[in-house]
Amino acid sequence: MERSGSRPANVTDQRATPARAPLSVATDLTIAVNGARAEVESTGERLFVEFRSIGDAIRAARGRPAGIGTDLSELLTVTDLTLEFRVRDRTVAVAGAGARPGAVSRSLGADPFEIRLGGVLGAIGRELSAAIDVVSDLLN
Amino acid sequence: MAWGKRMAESDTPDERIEESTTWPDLAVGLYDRLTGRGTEIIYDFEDMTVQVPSTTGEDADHAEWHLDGTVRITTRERD
Repeated sequence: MERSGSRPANVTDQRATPARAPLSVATDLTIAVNGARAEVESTGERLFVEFRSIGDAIRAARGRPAGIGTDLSELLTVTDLTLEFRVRDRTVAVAGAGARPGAVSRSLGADPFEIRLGGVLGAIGRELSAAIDVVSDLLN
Repeated sequence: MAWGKRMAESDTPDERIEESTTWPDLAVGLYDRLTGRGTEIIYDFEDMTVQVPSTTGEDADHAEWHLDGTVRITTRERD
């Protein structure tokens, strides 16, 4: 499971905000937003929302309340928790204490979330590979 | 559909977290309530469905959120 990367020089570090209420969270949880299902796992200080496909992740994102990103980021930072959004085992976005939003996040309007382009591209690649496998199975 | 919250060790009904207006305030209140007591809060969701509004107001769209499983929250020491 890909976890964390090195910190680019021109990024904002959410850890600059003090963790006033550090929490530990253990989950055994499944959520679905408008039918888009995700498993929520945790390692105590880090939570992982695992989507099976890019389509599910997009559908779930469309079901979020307006402005929740800033509130969620503040909550996670105060509690010293990090939330990773993953698609097909690749991390595509990070929120909270461990998020390091940079130029990409700002240009996409995703700040204070960190967008990981490598993870997005990797997820797209795996989605295409899965689609090719399905077509191949159908033809054989 | 069912939803439950329980305190694992001590649960004193007389102690209430004061009303919080922001998520960080809510978290700090939760931390102050839990820390130093060796307690945890366990949220059990059993096929719970919630209609979540996209924004405030009567014209808001609603997304259907479904939750099933458990969340356990404990505190850590401040650095």
